[in-house]
Amino acid sequence: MKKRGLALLISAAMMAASLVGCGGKDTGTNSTADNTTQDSTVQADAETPAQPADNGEVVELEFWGWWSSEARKPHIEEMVKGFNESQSKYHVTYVDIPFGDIFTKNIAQIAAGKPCDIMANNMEEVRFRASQGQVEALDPFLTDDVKGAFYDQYLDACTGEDGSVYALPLSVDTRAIYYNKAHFAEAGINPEDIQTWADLEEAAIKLDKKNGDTWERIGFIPVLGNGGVDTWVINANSGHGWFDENFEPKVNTDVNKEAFQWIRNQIDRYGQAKYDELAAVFANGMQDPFASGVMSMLVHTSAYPSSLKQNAPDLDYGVIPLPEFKEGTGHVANGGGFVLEIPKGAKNPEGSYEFIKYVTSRETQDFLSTNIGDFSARNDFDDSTEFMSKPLNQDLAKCLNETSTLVLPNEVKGYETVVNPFIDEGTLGLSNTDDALDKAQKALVDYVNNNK
Amino acid sequence: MFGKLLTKLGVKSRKGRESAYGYVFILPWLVGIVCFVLGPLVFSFITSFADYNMLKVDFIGLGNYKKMFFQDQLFWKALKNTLVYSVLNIPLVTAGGVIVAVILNKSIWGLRTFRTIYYLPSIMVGVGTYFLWMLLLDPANGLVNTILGMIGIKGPAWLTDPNWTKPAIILMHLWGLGGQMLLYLARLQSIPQDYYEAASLDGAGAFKKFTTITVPLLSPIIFYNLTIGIIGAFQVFQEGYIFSGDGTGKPAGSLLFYNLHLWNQAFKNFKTGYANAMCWFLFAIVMILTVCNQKISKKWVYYEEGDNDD
Repeated sequence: MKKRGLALLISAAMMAASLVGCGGKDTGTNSTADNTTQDSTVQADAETPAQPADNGEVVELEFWGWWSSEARKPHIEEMVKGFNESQSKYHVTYVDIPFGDIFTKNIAQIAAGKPCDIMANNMEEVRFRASQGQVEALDPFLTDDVKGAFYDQYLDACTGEDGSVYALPLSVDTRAIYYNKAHFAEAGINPEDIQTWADLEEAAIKLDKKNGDTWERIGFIPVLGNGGVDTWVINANSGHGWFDENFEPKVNTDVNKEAFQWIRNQIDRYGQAKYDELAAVFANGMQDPFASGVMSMLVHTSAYPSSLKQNAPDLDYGVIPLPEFKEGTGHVANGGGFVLEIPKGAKNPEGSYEFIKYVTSRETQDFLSTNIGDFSARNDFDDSTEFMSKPLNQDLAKCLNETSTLVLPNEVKGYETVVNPFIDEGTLGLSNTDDALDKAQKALVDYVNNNK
Repeated sequence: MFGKLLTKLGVKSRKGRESAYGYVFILPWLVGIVCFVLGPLVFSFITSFADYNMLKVDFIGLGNYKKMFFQDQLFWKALKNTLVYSVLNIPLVTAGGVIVAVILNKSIWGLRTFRTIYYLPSIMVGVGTYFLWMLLLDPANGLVNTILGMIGIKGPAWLTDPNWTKPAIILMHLWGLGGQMLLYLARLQSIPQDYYEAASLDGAGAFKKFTTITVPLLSPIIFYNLTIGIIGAFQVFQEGYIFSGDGTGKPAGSLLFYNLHLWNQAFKNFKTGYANAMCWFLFAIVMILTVCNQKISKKWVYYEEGDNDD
């Protein structure tokens, strides 16, 4: 018994020793962190031609994003290099982390007190992240000329409930209808004639091709590609979706019921089986029915041309705005974007801001847009830029002008998980569209009440 | 070196020294569990009583548990989805494993090749497999529906129709039962042929032999697989996360499993304290099921050595 106790004691002692060992290592890391500036000076000197500033110190900064493809990463790296060469105080390194991991890693790093210095993130949730204390405010550095360079709605999306600005827009997107020019010519359709939902339906019917029981060509299905029922509801309500302007749940309104029934009719024209088949094709991502000419029109984001460039370089296509629900309701589309922000606790917010300012400047935005194909949130991003001189981009820019980037209050965060299943039931033909909206309304009201 | 240290410390008996070495050998595991499991475990239990978002902790007593049972509209739905999946999946995969193992225990032509083919899927893990299955389950051009079409059955829209998503996942798991099969096979190989011969002499048929010799002798392995299977089934996550595309459990919330809902709460809505409470409730369920399974096992699990009472 005594021996066993002794053995236990030895083990405990050894374990304590190993723990101290771990601790020691930590201390080592900390001391390295404390000396970051000194160490990085050496590293930066070795890596870049940047000359140290007056005080001789170059600050190492880390920029996290998820762009790892050949189509994007080289341009992002070139942009970072451009920043490093443009000044001598900071040296930024781009770190790409897969999209599925980056956000959880970011929050874990913030919680651990060692975040990256500049983080790419989505625009819709800046306000939410700010309320959760995950981001640094940019106010101490932000000047009026920088602030004034962006369209109000995007800067507004980057502003927290406390009025401080927490991020700057990196890129924005919208939705539009892409159409196959050859199919349109064959069916004798003028794209400019498609102004309302009724026009769109009429065009789709003209484009449809059926051989016996087999559909050879699909004119249009509104909820495939990158459009959902919400896209059409936002369009029908001139910018508001499942909530009204006071953020009260408004799911089962007459307008929404009419809109959803119209969507249902478009699906029914082809039959549920055809819809299921195409939905599965889009989900597994192995084919693109629009690129292969199976579908004549498709709702997609403004980033779609870059994927078409790779999948179907010879496809002749054009773009039209989402039509109006009824005359005068507007060609509104729902859109979003990405921002750059400084995670809470970043070691050198001033340096991080300098980088963000550089990336969101007109010149860098033009470089990024031209090479990557994303749109800028800057209000001085006009036809004089290389990117906007292209006709397709001008057409997309028109859609961008009518884009709603509605940022919902933090209390309703996550509401989609209760609403979407009911909407799915309507889209999948499992329940009547009116019933689906009624159930979704009840679920949303409950959700809002539960989260008060 | 360590021997000398023990001598200095007065540990001289053989038994004492063996124990000391024993503890040294399990030390890496002990350090691991204390640092990386026990710590987070205690922390998650404490924060399950708090409004915790990974950056701030405000204690709210039983608030998270109250919300879970009475306010969260998706909690019961997610739990139901997980239960339905478990109830269908566990027996099918267990029975499937036994049947395949028994077949592959016979001397049939190409035995080794078949065993390899059946085992192969269980080493193919990860996201790639899920994408492969998305293609196999494609309603129009997928292999599964093409084969069904050959025998005159019009296959369903597996991953688009909410009524078929769970069967689709179970089908995928049946494809990967090679791991279980291997364990059964190992046990089957060690069953003495004498038993079967004796049974034959007594006039027992193939089915009788299977139920009275094979199954009882396999029962410890079946019990082990069942325990692991229950724990695994309640942890189902990736299938919902990947097949639903956006993590919301679509179509129509049919793939919103408990762990997916939990993950959304923790990493999308940053209600980490609430997610921790959900974790502990899941732990309680799995623990109760495991204990019940253990108790019931005494009635049906047969240990050859007669060691049937622990």
